[in-house]
Amino acid sequence: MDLIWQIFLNGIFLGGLYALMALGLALVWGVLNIVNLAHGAFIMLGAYACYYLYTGGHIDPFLALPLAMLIIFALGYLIQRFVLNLIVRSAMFTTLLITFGIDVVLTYMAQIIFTADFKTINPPYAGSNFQLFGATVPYVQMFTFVVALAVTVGLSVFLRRARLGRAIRATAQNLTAARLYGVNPRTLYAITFALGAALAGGAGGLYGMVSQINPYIGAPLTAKSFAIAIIGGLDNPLGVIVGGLFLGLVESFTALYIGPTYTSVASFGILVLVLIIRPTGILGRTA
Amino acid sequence: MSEVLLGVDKLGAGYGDMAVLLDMSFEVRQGEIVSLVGSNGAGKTTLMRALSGLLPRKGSIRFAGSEISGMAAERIFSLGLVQVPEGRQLFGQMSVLDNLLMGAYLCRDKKEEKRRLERVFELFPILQERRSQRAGVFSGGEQQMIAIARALMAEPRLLMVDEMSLGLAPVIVDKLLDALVAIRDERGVTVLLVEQDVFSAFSIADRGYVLELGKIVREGNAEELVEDPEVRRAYLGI
Ligand SMILES: Nc1ncnc2c1ncn2[C@@H]1O[C@H](COP(=O)(O)OP(=O)(O)OP(=O)(O)O)[C@@H](O)[C@H]1O
Ligand SMILES: [Mg+2]
Repeated sequence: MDLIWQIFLNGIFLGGLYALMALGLALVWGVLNIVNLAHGAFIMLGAYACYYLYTGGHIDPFLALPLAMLIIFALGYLIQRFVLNLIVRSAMFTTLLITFGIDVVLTYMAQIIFTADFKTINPPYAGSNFQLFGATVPYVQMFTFVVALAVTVGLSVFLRRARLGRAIRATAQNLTAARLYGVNPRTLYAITFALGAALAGGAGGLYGMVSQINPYIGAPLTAKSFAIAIIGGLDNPLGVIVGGLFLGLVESFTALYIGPTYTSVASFGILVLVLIIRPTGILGRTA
Repeated sequence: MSEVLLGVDKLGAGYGDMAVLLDMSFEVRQGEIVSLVGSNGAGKTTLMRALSGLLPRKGSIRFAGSEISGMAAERIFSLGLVQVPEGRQLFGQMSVLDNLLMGAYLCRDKKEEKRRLERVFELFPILQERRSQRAGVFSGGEQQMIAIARALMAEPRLLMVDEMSLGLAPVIVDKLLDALVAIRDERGVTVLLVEQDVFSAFSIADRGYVLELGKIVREGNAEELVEDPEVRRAYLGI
């Protein structure tokens, strides 16, 4: 019983992080109609940004997080402004190809600059934990969960209430009308893409605190984000919370009952299943 | 006579190689309601797009004292040339309130935004009551009302309305026409109404133009145009 409770909590904490990982992908997909295959690379770069701000700059990783997000925001803005704006609204295949190319380049550059060695973000409080009804909860795990959920809810509020957030939703729904009322799509797309990148970067920083990082963590995380975005749907940013928690729980319990090496099999099994059961949900947005 | 707000001279526009508007010239004076009628494919919507800066165009367009034929859409809009597009183009999944606020997107002043909202609600009280409902669930006439209200949120100097009556029952159209008159009378907004429906278009207009295959073929007082045998034959089938 205690074990199941422990595994359940692990899954929930992991799921919160997953939700934030998928959030940026879902945002960019919904607004720009681009499935950004470089999303995981932004997660990876955010993790490294946090790592170096901590080890080099001696900034507490949680405080470094906004800074890391800002850096990845800037990177995302430049990429959208100078590369993706050229192909926005073109065929899905083109955007997949280009973002795949960006992913390859970023991963390769990361490998040269950061080397392929595993790194971890290890703040002094990394080892401490507390008991919650018989389960052991590391503080770091709990903080990452809280921060991830707070950022996710924060984005949802921003989209709902802020002037810019409203314009992002409006552009996603009806580009023609949004232009008619003074929205400049190029700027708006760049901001949206940069936001998506920054969210990925933030998720990466948190990921680096609970897991090891190397230049190749991106691709599988892109795939997981994709699965979560599909489960959660693109219309409501809070949908990723459902998708993230679901995936987190499935992975935790798979690790327990089937074996830790099978967690990826489980998550991609779910992806395939969802694609089979709800293909219209995806085609409806990408067609 | 009041001054010219919109002066179009030898305007040409089209899609790629296909020219739709050919040497079009007309004008709209400050405080007027002008109707421009034309049948299917005459180029009415193309004209709206060209004036709003959404299509490449030739010739001269003067608006409120500036030459706008070379300006980007966003600039033209912020000068006060605002259109209610054909088919309404609402943000269907968003609330009425969000739709209206999008009309005031370029207004960064919260107080001013609120003032505009109150004025629009005065004109269409039903929108205030139902402001948190999704725009997509409203009836056709109500959606047209939302589209007009959204455009008013931009505080236009010239409100261009494209095919307002399309698909709506005559009673509803009459109500909307009354609203346009009120918008002109009470707020001093000049109105350019672009329509297929000659009767409704000319019923509230001071002056009118008839557009055929990208050219103005008739112009004059609205009452005269409705009586014009050519117009009656072509548009009313009488
Ligand atoms: N996006 C487009 N690309 C190419 N041709 C177009 C486009 N939109 C309209 N046209 C063509 O331009 C011509 C004028 O069309 P336009 O939509 O301006 O007519 P309209 O007067 O608004 O007609 P309606 O009363 O049906 O709305 C038509 O021949 C139409 O086929
Ligand atoms: Mg038309």
